[in-house]
Amino acid sequence: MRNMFLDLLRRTITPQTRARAGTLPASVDRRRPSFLHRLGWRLPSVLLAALLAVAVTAPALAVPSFAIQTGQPCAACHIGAFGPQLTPYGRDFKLHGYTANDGKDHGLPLAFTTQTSFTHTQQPQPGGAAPGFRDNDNFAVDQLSLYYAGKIASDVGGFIELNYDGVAQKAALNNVDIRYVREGQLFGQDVLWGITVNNNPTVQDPWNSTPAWGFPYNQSALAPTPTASTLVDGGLGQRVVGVGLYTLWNDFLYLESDLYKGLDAPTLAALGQVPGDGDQTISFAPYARVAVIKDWGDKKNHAEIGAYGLSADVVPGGDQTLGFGVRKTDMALDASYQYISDPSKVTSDRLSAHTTYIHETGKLSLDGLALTGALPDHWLDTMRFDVSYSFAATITPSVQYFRTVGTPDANYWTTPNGSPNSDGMILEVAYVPWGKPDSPFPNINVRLAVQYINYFSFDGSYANVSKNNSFYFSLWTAMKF
Amino acid sequence: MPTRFAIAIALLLGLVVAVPAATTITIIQRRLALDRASVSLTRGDRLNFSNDDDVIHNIHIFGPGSEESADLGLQKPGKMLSYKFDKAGAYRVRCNIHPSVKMAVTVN
Repeated sequence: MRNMFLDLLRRTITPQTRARAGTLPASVDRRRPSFLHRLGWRLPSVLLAALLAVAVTAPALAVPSFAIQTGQPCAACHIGAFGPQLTPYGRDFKLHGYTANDGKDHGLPLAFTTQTSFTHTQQPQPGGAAPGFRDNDNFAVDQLSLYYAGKIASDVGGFIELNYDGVAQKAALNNVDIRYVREGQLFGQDVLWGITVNNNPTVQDPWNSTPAWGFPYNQSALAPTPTASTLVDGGLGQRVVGVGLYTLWNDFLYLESDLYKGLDAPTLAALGQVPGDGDQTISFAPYARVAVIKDWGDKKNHAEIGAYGLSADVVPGGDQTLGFGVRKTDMALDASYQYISDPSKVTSDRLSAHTTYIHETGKLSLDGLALTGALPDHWLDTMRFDVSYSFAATITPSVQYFRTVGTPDANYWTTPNGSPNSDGMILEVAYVPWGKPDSPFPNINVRLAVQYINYFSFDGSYANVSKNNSFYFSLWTAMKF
Repeated sequence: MPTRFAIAIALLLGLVVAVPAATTITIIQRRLALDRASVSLTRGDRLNFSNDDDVIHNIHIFGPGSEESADLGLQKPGKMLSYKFDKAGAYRVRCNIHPSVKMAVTVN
């Protein structure tokens, strides 16, 4: 089977490689499709061959090394039998530092995932959806990801992700979360405490109401996205490194405090990031999190309500403030609810809902005030609410409403009219055939999804806003080495 | 003869009364939880652990000493495991795979 896959891959690649030698330089044809893009319709067949090759050679689930380590199907940890939306047990596994296991030696916890997609926007994007891509109707290899995910020592576990981004065509260190965890008693009740080292504020959070693991769980990189977003909403992802202390007392009160340090430009470049693409900081950034949780009704109902906050001196990316710094402070509220129809069956129907509200204040430096002409203070609020219902951990429709509003300022925001406001809805249906206890293919898991994003406003405009609406068809696969 | 037989029966009954029978309690694992948070036993009593979930469990018993433990191994759905508590002291029971599946056991 591996030979069949290699033959198919070779036959697919060879003609493209030959053609590439005879093409004009990139400077002549700026929209020359990338190598991966030129695979075009052949891509699905290559992926199918790859999946089949792996399916018969290695056990796999999603994040597959976690599943193998615990002997649990994907559905035990994930709503809809595929990550990253966590069940109560999935949260428990994460809080316990990814160390729970079945006592067997499964080798290094290495796993591999692929994300491929087709994106259609309501109107073509002149100049191409991205360098090397067409104006519309693009196939893409969104992500190829390699994970070290699992137990490292008896009380130490980790999640380390390396990515190849097929749209940006670069490899980078993605999310990292390494934990040390202990348990004990405090005031006569169980207490869990741990240390996390991570590189993305909220990536360590066990609830999907916070940004790093919030809905949508994958999204097109070839469709228009609003310009403005808050700092805690991915602004510092992979651009900082931080250490935090967290504790869960009596399965009721969760407290966490982290301190992040921004990475300088050479370090960012070495890790595969483009320093000027996003917010940059070399200062310290404190982060705090509190949440209370409650289960009731024979573990059928799970609720969480909490708050989180982050503050840092940053230089906004994209030359937004001509290189002048802004003090950004984010304060946020969040809540989650899950209803599990039969908690003794991981394939039972599950309803889940998440919401978050982030309020950001930004204070421009005095130098920036004079030279940009921008207002000294800005605010930006983001609100999201999503609900999904997973039928038998197989079909999961979801819907989300999102809204971002803030201070209008043509000298601050890079939108056409100086307004950061956008809102809209996301509709998605995901299909996951495997990842359940009785799955016929325990060696592999896949997620097929169709997603539609409908904007009501976009970057402060209500006119012709529908041109940004998009369909996104994605195939997400997961396997363990 | 009838008198001797009657005495023997009486002695046996007396022994039965004097030596209490060991107790066996069944703990149910369902909804990724144990159905009891704690239990008190007498030396020699047993706990049976059922698995009424649709995923595997792994009961691990810690105690009574800090270095003592017994790993009952992987437990498929529907399978029953049993453990006899021969020493007095405090024990902790938990699933290796599901850290929140846990209970306390006191043996007198």
